[in-house]
Amino acid sequence: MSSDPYGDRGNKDASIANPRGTGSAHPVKRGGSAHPAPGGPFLIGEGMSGGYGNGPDILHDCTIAVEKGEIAVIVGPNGAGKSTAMKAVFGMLDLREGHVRLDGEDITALSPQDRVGKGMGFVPQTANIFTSMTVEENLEMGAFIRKDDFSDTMEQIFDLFPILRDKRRQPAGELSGGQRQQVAVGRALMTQPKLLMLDEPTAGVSPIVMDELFDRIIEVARTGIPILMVEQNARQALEIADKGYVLVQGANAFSGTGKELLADEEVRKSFLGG
Amino acid sequence: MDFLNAFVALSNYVLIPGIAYGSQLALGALGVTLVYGILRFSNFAHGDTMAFGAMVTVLVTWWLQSLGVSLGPLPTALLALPIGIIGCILMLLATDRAVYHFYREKKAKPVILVIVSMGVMFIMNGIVRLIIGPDDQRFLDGERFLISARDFKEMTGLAEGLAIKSTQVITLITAIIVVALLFWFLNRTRAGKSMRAYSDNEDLALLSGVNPERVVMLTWVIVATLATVAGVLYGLDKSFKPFTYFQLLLPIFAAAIVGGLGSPLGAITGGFVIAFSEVTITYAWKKVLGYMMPDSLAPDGLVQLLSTDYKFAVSFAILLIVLLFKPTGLFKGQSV
Amino acid sequence: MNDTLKNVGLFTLVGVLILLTGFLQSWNSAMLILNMGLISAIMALGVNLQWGFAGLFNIGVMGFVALGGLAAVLIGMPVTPGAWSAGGFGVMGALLLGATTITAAVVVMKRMQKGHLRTLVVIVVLVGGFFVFRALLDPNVAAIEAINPAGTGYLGGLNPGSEDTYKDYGIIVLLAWPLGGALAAGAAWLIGKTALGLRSDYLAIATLGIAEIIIAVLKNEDWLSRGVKNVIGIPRPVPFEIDLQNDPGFVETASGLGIDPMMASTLYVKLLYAGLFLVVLVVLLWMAQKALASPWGRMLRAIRDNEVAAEAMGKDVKKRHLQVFILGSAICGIAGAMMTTLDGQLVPSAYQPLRFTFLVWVMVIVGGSGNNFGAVLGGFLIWLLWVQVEPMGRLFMDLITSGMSDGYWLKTHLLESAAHMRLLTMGLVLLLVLRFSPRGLIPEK
Repeated sequence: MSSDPYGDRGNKDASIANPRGTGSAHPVKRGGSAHPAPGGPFLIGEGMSGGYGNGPDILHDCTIAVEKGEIAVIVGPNGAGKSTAMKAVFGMLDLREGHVRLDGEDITALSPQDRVGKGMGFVPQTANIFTSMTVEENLEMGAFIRKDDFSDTMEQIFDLFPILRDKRRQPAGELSGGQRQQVAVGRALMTQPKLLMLDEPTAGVSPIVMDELFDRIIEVARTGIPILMVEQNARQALEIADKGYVLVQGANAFSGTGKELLADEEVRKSFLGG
Repeated sequence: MDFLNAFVALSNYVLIPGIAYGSQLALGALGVTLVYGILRFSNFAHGDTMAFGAMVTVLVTWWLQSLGVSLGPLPTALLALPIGIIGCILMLLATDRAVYHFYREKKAKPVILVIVSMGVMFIMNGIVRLIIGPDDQRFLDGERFLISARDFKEMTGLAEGLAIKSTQVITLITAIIVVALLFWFLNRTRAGKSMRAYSDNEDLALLSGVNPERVVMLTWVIVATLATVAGVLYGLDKSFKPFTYFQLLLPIFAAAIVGGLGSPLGAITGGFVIAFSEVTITYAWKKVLGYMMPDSLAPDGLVQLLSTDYKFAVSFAILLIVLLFKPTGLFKGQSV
Repeated sequence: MNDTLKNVGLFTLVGVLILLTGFLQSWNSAMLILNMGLISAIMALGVNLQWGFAGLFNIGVMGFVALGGLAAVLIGMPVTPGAWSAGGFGVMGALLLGATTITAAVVVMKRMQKGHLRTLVVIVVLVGGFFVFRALLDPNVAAIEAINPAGTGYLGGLNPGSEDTYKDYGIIVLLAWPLGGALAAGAAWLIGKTALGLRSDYLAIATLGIAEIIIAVLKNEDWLSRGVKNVIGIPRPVPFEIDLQNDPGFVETASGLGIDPMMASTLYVKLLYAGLFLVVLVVLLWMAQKALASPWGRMLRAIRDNEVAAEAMGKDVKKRHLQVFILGSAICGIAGAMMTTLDGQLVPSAYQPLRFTFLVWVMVIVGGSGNNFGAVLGGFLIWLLWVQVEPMGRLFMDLITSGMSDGYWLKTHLLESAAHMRLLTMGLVLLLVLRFSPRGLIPEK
């Protein structure tokens, strides 16, 4: 854009500028610290408002929470800010207003790296694996912040996703869509997180693979890790959800248990196609 | 017909100089490719970074020589090299703090960083000229030849001599050590993997807890090391002149692009492809062909495909051919 | 402060600085700065067209400028007697053959089925063509270069005069300016066709390479440009100082104005040049402004700001990019021809990328990418700085070494190094502007 002095003027010259893998996040800066804020749910993003960089607000007083041992699902129409809400909880964008609390601590000022350290695991919707690295290296990168021996965790992940054990030496970019998602979830589990956040884990995979992925996600949840998930397939997601949030234009429209939402006449009409 | 003499002549004028030059280009291209892969821009100041690191080494070498320190048959410059590397690292880290860091914070597009690197190029070029002047500087000492042409002739009884300069051997050995260390670092260590991860996918590296500033710092340290080593080896093999380093930018870029920008393996291959094309195409083949052919067919002219002034044209032509047939370079680089 | 007022102020500042040069140093230096400033402004205009309007990264400005310089030789110099018959036609034939070879290779590439056979045929055509080309070219080149190598040894140009009288036809050099533009445009077409046609755009490295090749050709092909022996005495479209000094009418007028005739003649010549250059600058600036405001210009900016949307609207992005790349390069070629005319000589070894490519970039960025007036201002300002940094650097070095005793090595070294302050300063100016006024002195509206 001509108004942006740091823009590229539409230049697409690959001999001087590398377009690949550049970050789009405007993460919370490092150096912030958490402070105790007891009470409330295990994880809550409360009254969040904000957007990317200097852009307009995408979230408007949005609240998302998940309790221990639960699966919470965010659904809503395209462009409702579902992914943005997720990123905000993870500190990938600066909040103008609102707080994020995890396990009795206010972590609003923490950078994403520090949130990983606090036990959050996040699987983005796209570009969620290191394509040029092997499956094993992807998992190792997941455990980047761990200083202890993580071979046990890797074994657990190979048990959860056996196909990855066979492909451990292959570059992750050569795997199929479903296998890539397994790598992505596996990478996030490598930190042994206290909470797993999934942004549309079933986007672009076939229905059979989708069912299998849902099964695996339930399996993870059974081990006691609470899961916060954005899903495009609202009906199927709400069926396994303990709690559901319907977002519209960056704000909470409906919330309740998965069953309640599925039974709600208005939610069904507007978002579940009748 | 005399194949042995032909082969010796070929080794003497094409193979050995090509290997030495190729190693130097490869080291230079590795630096360019790392900056491209991790900081995501083509660093126009890279030639001058090489000149800066080499300059520090030259100055320290002179100082050591004045103290009477020597490595015997080896050039004193090898002793000064670590200090040159440290000097270059400090320079690049200071540059990053003072210049590049600001644009990363602003999330400036890579093209802007390219323009910024032009400014850095001017400044580094100016600093090097201010300190050591624009002229040719000699800093090579120690044994000049491993095998001189005369010794070789005496040893083998061949008509053609084979001279192996000690700098050529040093170039090759140093390059192999440095490249091996680099690959070990990138593929086996935690920090190296974090660099690869950051290059592959910045946001996801962030999510995994990689500290981007640390990755960038590491990158500059490695780039400074590679640039200084490349600069010193080139200076030892040819001579140290600031402007030549600036001119090396084209073959170095060509090498990095031919190999596939962002791919370290590609940078090395590209370096040798460019070096050998330059040397072969600008070499006068009269002697070699003279040995190969019967006297009646021996060529009259120099049989030089192109005059040496066209060596840049050769790098460029190779570059264009590779891009036309394999737009991502010989090894799959990041430029799609 | 009002924008127009600020811009007028900036241009006035440059004018005052040039006047100051005149008062404090000499009017000849001031005029030289003005003339080269005009030429620099034109170069900056060309680069701004490419980078500012279309986001094309041309780092081969030097090559296009040099082609312009070649045009001045090809038009301005007299034909070398006997050179054409000795080998000129042979060289042309060889070049034609070279072009045919490449065309043939391209045709084979396009017509034949993909496979090993095609690769083989292409290689055979290219390698065979190259050897025939060299076999035809080399003897003819040798024949041309053998003709009075100390004085000519090249084909010469199109000046109708003889070696003694060609300077009387000086006005013909004006034709070299459009020809310089045309040569640069031709080269740009070739580069643009290949580099912009590749799957991803590799224009930057392509221009960097081609510029070096053009300089290598000028340095090496003596039959064309005398190579490193340089071409001197290129005729001028304006009178020679010596003729003016011998003209009683001129001497009288000068004395009447109270100026030394010698000084008056040099200033008068430079003034005439300035007038010519100013006309070119104004015409090009007017055209650039018109282009910017035209539907064509609006489309360019639309492509620049959102290529995907523009493409979706059916705009042929590649074609527009090629057009603007050719136009910008042609402007650089015109400027190059003007510069060689001003210098009166072609010195291939004087073409350095720092001076002719990257300095022009500094001009555009400092002036304001995307704004024609900014580019012009940047051209003047940076050229002024480029010239004046040297005396200022000396002054600065004198100042900091004033405390040191004479003969102290650091003092000698610093004083000797003052000349190198130039590059340092240019880099500093570029970085400071990028940091604190990233859109340049006169930002794009």
